[in-house]
Amino acid sequence: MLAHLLRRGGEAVVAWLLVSLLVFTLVGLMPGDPLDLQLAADPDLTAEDVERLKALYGLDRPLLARYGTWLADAVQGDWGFSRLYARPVAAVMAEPMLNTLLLMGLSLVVGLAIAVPLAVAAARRPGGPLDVGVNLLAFAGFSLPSFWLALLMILLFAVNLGWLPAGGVHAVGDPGLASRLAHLVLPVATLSVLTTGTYLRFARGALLEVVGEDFMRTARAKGLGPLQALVRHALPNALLPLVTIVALQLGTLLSGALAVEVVFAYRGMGKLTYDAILANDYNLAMAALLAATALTLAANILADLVYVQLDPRVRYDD
Amino acid sequence: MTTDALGSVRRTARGLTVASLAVLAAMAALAVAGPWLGEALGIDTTATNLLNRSQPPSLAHPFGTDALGRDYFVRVLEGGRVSLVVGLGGAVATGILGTLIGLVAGYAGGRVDALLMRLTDVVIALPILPLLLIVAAIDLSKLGLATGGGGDGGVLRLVVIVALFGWPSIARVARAQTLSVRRRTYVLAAEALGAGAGRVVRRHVLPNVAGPVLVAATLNIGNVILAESVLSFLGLGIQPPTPSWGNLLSDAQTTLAQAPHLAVIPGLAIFFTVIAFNVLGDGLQALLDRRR
Repeated sequence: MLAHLLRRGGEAVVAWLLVSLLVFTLVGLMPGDPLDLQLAADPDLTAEDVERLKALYGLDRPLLARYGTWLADAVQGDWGFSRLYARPVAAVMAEPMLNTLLLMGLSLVVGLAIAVPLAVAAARRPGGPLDVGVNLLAFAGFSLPSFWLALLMILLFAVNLGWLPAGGVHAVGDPGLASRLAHLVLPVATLSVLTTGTYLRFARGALLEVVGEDFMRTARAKGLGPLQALVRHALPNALLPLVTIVALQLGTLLSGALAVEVVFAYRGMGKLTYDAILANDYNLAMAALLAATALTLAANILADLVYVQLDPRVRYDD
Repeated sequence: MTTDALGSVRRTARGLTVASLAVLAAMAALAVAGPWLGEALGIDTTATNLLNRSQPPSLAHPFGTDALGRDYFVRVLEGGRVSLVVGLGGAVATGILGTLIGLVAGYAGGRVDALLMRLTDVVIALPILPLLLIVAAIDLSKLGLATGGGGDGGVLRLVVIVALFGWPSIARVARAQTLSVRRRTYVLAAEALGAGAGRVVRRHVLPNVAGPVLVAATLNIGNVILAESVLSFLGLGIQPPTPSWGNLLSDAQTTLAQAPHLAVIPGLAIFFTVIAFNVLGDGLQALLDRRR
């Protein structure tokens, strides 16, 4: 088990390093560079000044050397300075990180809370009207463009009905809990449609796999009602693959969160990444992307661990 | 599950699959016929009319007009053509790349397989959209590539980007299929008769891989269309004036309160297309499973 964990951890670190090199290269290929903006801001800068600034920032050095410097600083906790916010990257990222984790966590919980009971209800009569409806609902959920759903939510609940705020994390000058919660409702509702659809699909599939098993007939034979048999015997077996799916879908959830955050102007990691990319904020874009990558890689290892805890049949003895 | 219930599941599934095919056929026909239809209705697709901006749907303009007074019906059809081309092109490119990687991994086995599958695991776990944003934002001239891009608003570029990150799901399917036939007697016989790896893969492995890959690729089309729409919406996909469902929505965002129909219509088009491709893929999957 420990050996397995170490191996998975090692792989994740290697993967993260590869992604960081890739992202470092890509970020450098975005149009414009930090000097362009200084140049545009100050017409008195001469060609010699540009060369001097390039040397000062190390932009004249080869890519790999710059990456090495960045990595050495990064592992020591120095993620550089955000040009967009004129503050250290780590300080800029702290609050959006919490905002995003809150948004994703709530959507994940809401998604599971709706999907699992619905899947159980549908599995009582496979092929029945409820099952067909649930299946369509699942397809609808993950076929909706999340940013479009976000627009519709704003249109209906903010513009037409005026019940909820259209965007932001809290009202200007009112960072209280009530204001924050009101601003969370629409983003969470939007993202939850996506998570519900995805989880519903897999939960329904997993339940349909096990309802035909022998132990289900045994459960019924010993006198359990259909619902009891489903909840006590089918559900635990069906939840196992769901753990993996939830972890694997975290990257997708993060992507969905990005679009939703941008539409709702919700200051989370997704919006931060988007703004950083558009504003050529190299350091911030790098850090935000790599934090997201680290999160998904870690979630996959965590899913492995949870899986072992839940299923005594699974052993990693290598 | 009783055979009766199973039959019922199958019947509804078949009905849904047929319905989704009908939706897709209609979408494709409209997208192809779009410009011709505009001509027949006497609508100039490029004519702006500032006195007739953001009008709600009417008889003259069934989908209303956009913020520049252009007929929205034809704009949406043209956008659909671009979105469908990106969806299909992206799925084909993803399918080819994924199949190649899966075949190599499954057939070669050993270290090559282990390495490629680790790579697959990693790419699947990545937060795709932020990475797509960065890749979509890069300046190709910094790589010494031409930036001309033609007049397509970046269709080819999107197809390439989508394939770069979308191949793992296909590669997994292709590899699993390859492994399942790798030790079959007819494959071994072909090898014993001296057929090279290329020939064995082409003649004996690929035909077995094709079906499941086709299903996975169909399920992928919806994802590609969604990726196109979100990238274009964020301003990093298809560039105006070339319309796509995604960038139509991007424009509609600014006039959401005044002209909600501009935001509702392209979104519905995306939704119905994506759900149709997903249902179709699911139906094909069921068909394939039953044949085994």
